[in-house]
Amino acid sequence: MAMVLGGYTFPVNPSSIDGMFTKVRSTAYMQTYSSCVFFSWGVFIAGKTIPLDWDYMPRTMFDALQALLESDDTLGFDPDLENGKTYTVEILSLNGKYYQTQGNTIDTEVAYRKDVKLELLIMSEVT
Amino acid sequence: MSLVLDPALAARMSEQSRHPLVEIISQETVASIPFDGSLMGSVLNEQFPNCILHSTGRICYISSHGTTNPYYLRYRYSDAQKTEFNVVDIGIEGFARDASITEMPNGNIGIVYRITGSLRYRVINVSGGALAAGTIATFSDASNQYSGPFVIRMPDNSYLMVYTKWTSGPTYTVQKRTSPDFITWSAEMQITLAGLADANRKANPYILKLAGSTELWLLFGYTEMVDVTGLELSNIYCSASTDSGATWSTPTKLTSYTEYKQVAMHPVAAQKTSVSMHLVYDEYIGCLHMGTSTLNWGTLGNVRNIHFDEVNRKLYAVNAIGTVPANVIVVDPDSWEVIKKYDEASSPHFPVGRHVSETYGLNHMGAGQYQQLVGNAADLFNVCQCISILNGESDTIQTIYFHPNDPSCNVTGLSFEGSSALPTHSVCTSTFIDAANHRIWCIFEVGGGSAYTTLIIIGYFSLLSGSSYAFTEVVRDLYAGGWPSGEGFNLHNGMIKIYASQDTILVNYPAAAGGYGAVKLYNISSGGCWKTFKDTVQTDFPHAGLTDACMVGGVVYGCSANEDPGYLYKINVASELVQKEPLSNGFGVAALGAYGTVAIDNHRLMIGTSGKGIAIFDIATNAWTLYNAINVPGIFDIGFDAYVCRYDLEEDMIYFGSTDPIEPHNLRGITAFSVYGVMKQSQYRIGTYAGGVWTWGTADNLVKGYQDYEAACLVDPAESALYAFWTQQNSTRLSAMWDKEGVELNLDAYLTLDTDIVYRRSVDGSPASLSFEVSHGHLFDVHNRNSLLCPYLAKGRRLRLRFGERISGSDYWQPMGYFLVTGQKVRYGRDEYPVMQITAQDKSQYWIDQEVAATTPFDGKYPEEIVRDLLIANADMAEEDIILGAWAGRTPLTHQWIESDLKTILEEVLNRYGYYLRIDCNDDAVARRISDSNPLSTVYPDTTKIINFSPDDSYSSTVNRVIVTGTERTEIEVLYPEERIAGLNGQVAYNTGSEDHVIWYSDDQSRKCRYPRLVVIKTSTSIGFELSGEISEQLLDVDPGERYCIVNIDAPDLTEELIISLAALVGSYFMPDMVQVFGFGSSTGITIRLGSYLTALFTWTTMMILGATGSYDYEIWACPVGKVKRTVQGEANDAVHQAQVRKVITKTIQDVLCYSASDCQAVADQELKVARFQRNRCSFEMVADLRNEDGDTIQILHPYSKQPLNIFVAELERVMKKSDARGDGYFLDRVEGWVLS
Repeated sequence: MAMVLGGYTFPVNPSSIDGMFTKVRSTAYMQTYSSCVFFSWGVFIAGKTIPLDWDYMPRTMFDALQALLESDDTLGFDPDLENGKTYTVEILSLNGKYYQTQGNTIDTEVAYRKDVKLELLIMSEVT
Repeated sequence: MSLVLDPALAARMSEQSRHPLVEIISQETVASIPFDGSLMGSVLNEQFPNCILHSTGRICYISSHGTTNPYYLRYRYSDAQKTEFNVVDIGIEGFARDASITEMPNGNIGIVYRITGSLRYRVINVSGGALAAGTIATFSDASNQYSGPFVIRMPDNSYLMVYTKWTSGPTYTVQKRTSPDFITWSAEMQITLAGLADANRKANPYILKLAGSTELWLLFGYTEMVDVTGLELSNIYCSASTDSGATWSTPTKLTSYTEYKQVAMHPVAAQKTSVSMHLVYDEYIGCLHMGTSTLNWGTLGNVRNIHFDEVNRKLYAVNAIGTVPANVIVVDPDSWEVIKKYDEASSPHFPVGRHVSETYGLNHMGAGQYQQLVGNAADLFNVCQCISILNGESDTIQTIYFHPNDPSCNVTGLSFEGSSALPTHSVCTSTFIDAANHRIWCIFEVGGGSAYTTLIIIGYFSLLSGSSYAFTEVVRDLYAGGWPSGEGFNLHNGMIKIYASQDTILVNYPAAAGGYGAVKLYNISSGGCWKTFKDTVQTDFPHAGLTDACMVGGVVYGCSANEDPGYLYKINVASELVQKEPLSNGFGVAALGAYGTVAIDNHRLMIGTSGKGIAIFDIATNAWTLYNAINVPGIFDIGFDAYVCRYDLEEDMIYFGSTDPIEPHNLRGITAFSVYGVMKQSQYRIGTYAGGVWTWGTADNLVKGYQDYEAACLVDPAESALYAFWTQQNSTRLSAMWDKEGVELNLDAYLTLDTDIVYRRSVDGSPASLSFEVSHGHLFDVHNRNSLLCPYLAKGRRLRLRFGERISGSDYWQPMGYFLVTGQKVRYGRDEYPVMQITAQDKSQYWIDQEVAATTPFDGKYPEEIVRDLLIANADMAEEDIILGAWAGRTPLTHQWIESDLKTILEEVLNRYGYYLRIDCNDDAVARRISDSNPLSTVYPDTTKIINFSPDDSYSSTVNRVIVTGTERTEIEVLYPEERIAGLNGQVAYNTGSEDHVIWYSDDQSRKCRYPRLVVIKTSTSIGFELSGEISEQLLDVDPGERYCIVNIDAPDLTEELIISLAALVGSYFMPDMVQVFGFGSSTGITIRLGSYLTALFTWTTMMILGATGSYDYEIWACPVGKVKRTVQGEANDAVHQAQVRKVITKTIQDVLCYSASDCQAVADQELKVARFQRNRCSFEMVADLRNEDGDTIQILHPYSKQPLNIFVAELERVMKKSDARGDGYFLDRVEGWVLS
């Protein structure tokens, strides 16, 4: 299976995902004069950022992701998890490098991009 | 007392692990329906709105924009969350009417519309991108298209369109077309509507597919009948189809108009549930009437005077029995409902009984919040002359009794002396209220008539006065010979208008037929007359003067009175040029009944007539606009006297009173109509489905304005909220408006993480406040008219704050209070997210700006009663929302506040007893006592809740002595040193004898003196008295009331001596002189002149008696008696502090509410206590405890010594910051407190 972002199915899944699609607990604590007080506002997933990393990806895939970024819209994201959950996300950034040949020259026409990082902001959990 | 929380929530306050919650809800302050609306965008000339709810949650909206080339369909679509609109203008071939939209199966939008000669379609994507366009049908005769089209998508994803077609005859038919794809459309097919006449108009067809059913409803406006004048009887009809529009049921009526006054048009419907529906339609009305059949009006429908208060938007109508005013009706012109009635039974009650004459609108106009209720008594000898004025803001009625013989006379400084007529022959012929300066101006006429000297007095009374009114005289004109010879015109029935900014008083003297009229202008500053207009000087001036006059831009305007009628006169004050504008240009007839001339603004006049209509005259262009039965249907069918009319600048409405009793005009009262002609207002009825039938509730306004119409509606099922979009007309300008039914907006999703939510309360009397930040500042920005969120944080919007805790998965809440937004601030910048800062305060924020001209005179009322009365009268609070209890140390107060603000007044009362007023968590006004003896509300046995602690006396002063002075209420008698009080001198004659002289101690006979004594300066007498004795004098008697004494002067009475002397004198004439003859013949001898001598003697004595006079000169000395109010004083000392600093620092307070030394002492003790508290101030932070409030006394342990500290909470700031990614969050109480012990 593959991940789907904004209706676009990834030909290549990320080589690494720096984070989990799990809720985080919003907490704080303070030391009082003779004790400690703990505050919790519950668990949330909205607002969590998830970076997706690819060592290499096809140029066409990068262009498709760039088009999604330029659509400037909220997107649906299916990370293809075991639990089947999907999310609405915003693309915060998309960055990568041109693949360099042995001659160390940059060729924009080569078919790959390397060290690509796509940072997603989770807005809500859909299912 | 601390707040009583839910037990589980209270228990959580003691724990160290907290799960805090916060909720801020934006609410409307008043019911959302009728909608007032917000402008959509800023581009005008937009009309014919229609809307749908898209399957994505978006609102899609279509309208027509532009009345000349280029033409557009204006398409708006919101985001799925319905937060803001995007606008797409779709250029089209002509001016589109009745554009209708529907969602296609793929989410695209289908649009049908008509332009001249054809029906068209367009297909766009949901973002407005063009996909397809074409013509559905063309008509050789453009008039064939009458109304519509309207389109819906059917359950089988085909489309059904309906429209009304007109053909000569005439006939009106409802046609339909269908399409499988929105591109190809069938030929038109007529919908058979059984029972309806083809010749009668059918307009605005609309189709609704009922929720949860396959049934279709076809709604349309149907004209049932037309009367001979062209007025229509029209209703909304409904026909149903259960076979996808193939056949339709016999139409039934959904509205119930039975008269020719209203026309029902443009139906739409929105279903909230399968059993609840809003039917919305336009009501076209020529004019609004209100009278005896109106709820709460009463049985009197004889309106003699009206006034419109633009600021408070209240319309006042004074009703009379015959000609005698009897009540006043207060009307909300927006809801067109009676909101108050003042009569004998009301409080304050209408002053019936004292008044025998009526108030005519032109002579006694209202202004601002003031409405004059009754005028003077015209009967010269009637002592009931008075003026009553209603102050609609303070809900008080004051009466000025000015007749000198009236026992109730409460006027000083008004003297009618000067006329040869009796002073009691005074008549107040006209008044004028200067609301800005709270004055009522009066013109008095004394001795009007050729037999007397006529006196004209102009001046004013202050409406801020209490029970006594000092008259400030500005003009005093005395005319020998009275009118008409006094100035060549009738000085009678003068009508005044005040132009304070121009330092001018205008007096119009209208005359009866044959009389001489005039207009005079006076300076307010000098009282001098600087201009007189009369036909003997300005030959074009109308002989009988003007019926009513007003001055605009240096020109006096008025219609002619009684003679030389038929003109509007324009008199240039500077050049004295008189010009005439024929009234027939405006009214089409001579308009003999032209009466009042009212300046609407600086370029328009409004002229009312009896029976001819109302006209507006444009000063700049000399253009007339007439309103009568021809262009405002129904305007004069219930009464036609429109000479007292008022103009509503905000709504461009005209109001006038109806007085005509002629049958069938059996409904009299007030009438309102729009200057734009027919009023168009969207109405609604709620339908409820039960038992297989729909029943409809009472019709009511959906929108507020009278030119707000063509409403399109939809329901957001997520909130069950009704959205409405409509057209608003303002002059020729058409605007798109929108509003949403009063659902609340929970701001939880918008509260930003990294900023504090701060809730603050203090005992210093300042309003409780709330501040926080929200994301999406661009959407809450009130200037972003594409935003659907912009009303939610607009200034004045109500916010409800709750804090709480999540306990075992359940949320427990404690209300903190209600706040009104005071400000919003957002900054736009590139790469900068628009976060908006919001500040809000409780409703007591308005008290600072709430001017109070004059309170009720409070006499012996307890302070809680005074505070309650003030809040009810000035803060629009209900009695049940004011919780004051019985105050400690309360005493009856007697006071009246003049020209102050509500907050200042309240604080004077509260400070006197050591209380402060707060708006509590339930939005009630609650008084709490600032005291060191309040019971402990919360005790903290350890320091586990204390974050930090610091002594902090930064707000303290070094005052250690407080002196409070006051004045006793009662007067005491004082005796002043003896002084010369009066003198008495004169002469006595032979027959004066004894006489008494009453010596008053003052000219006004009011002064009291005690222990009078007589001092003789001089007494001299002639010989006549010398011979009979001396003049004697004595202080004979003293007035028990000590206002005069009687001096007796006793001189000898010589009357008897005079009689004797005269008798002797007469007798002496009969006593002959004796002759003794002797010597030489008979001719020799002597005459003894006894008789002559006696005559001479008695002549002398008579002369001496008659010439007897005496003169005297006395002085009366006495000790004047006076009354004074004693000053009282109380003093409190902080001896400990005085000893510490070896200095006494005194603070002196004057308290007008202290009437005794004990009162002063109580205030001094309280003030010193507060000063001492401030020196014992501390501040600390602790974990938020929802039980604690300002004014509570709590006990904590000193963090170092662990000694218990009782602390009065002077200020409480509750701060929550949700934790961010760094774990920086808290929920704390920051307390400023006074350490009591």
